[in-house]
Amino acid sequence: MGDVQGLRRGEPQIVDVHALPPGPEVDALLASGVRWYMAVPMIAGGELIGALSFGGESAEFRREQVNIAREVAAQLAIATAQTRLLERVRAHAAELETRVQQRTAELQIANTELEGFSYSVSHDLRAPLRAIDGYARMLDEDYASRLDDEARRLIAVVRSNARRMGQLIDDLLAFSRLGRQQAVSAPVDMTRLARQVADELRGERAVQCSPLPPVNGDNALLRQVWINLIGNALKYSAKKPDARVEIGAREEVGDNVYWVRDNGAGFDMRYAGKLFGVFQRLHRADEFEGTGVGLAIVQRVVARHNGRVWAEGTPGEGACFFFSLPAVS
Amino acid sequence: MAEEQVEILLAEDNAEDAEMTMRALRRNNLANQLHWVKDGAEALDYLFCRGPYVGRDPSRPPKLVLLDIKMPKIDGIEVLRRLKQDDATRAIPVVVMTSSNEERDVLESYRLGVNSYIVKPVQFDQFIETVAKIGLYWLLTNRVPQ
Repeated sequence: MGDVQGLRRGEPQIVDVHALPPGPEVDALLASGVRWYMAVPMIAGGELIGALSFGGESAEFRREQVNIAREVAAQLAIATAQTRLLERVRAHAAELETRVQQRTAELQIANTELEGFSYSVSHDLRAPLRAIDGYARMLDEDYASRLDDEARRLIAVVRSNARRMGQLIDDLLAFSRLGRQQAVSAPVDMTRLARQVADELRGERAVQCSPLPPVNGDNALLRQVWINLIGNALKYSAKKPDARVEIGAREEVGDNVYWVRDNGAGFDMRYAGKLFGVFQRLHRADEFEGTGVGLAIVQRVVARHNGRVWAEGTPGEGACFFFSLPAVS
Repeated sequence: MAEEQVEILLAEDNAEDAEMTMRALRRNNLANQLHWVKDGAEALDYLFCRGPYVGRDPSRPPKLVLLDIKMPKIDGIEVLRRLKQDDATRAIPVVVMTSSNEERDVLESYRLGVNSYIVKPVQFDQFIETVAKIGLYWLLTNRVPQ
């Protein structure tokens, strides 16, 4: 093979076959009439990756022969390097594919576990709650004559907390179900949807609804967004004598921005970041009922539609909740 | 053995739910002929007159089976499957009463031929009212083959 350092420097090496350590390879060379050979380095990316050898009876190699050999070696080096790169890319791709499959399998397992979890929450947490509420009530019914007002008040506290926990479980389940539910995409008439929801929720109250641009999305999920936002606006403005709830939208580049505005209790912008978290509330339950899941659902649904939610508010003056959805192209 | 005809078979592993169910039925005088079994295996023994119920008269099935889904040994879905597969027991009205609000349980129950599917309300008043309605409807309003 000659001097490897020389090869690394790009210098062809002339090798005397008789000077090589004896062995089957040397025998084979001599048998085929090779007494001397020249090794031309193959260099790719500054790295010696092999050598191209040719030889014969004499140690004399013509310049022309050497030039051709060097040219061929250079081309071979490039081809070899590219083949190696390609192999590496293929190996990486195969590894990535395996990893994706692995992750997908892991995700599926996690999903199944989560389903099992919410299933057992739905089943197992309700039964003890029913017993708490039921037995408190039975105590109240069967021993009414022997209980004083304070005893009955304590029973009422037990029952109202059982009820509240029931509501929390239901809301949490509704929230977790959102993640599993398959969303469909179809044209949705937002004006109709918002007006329908407003009519169902408003009771004797007035809700102003301007025309809204349509979107593509899941009608049932978007309906839930309107239910939660309009429901909130009605709830938080209920105590105002001149309560107003307004629904509107504006079209921006690529997006439609919808809003629901009320002049109710409002909120402090310092806590705006907490609004959309699960079980996060800015009001006490005795001020306004609720479990703190509604806006988390809104955010989840809007995010699944590639949109965004945000809110503006002033304590005592009202709040405005916005959500953007991609405009229909 | 002279036995009074059982009108309701209650299959329920949760003792509190069972007590509240019986209380609701008692209010409407519907609990006198109720038999309570605590798992699916015992429910099947009762309905097919096997094991401890070998002496029971198979020609006198209950008028109503109130069936919980999540029970030890054999669950309610399996009890329902075996009941509705068998010509001798297919006509017995089965009302699933469960805490599970899961769509797959509802679908599977109806696929197997359940007569009604009720999610047990958490609130006692609603629970009592629901159980009473079920009892009144299936025992007094509904007619089964003689």
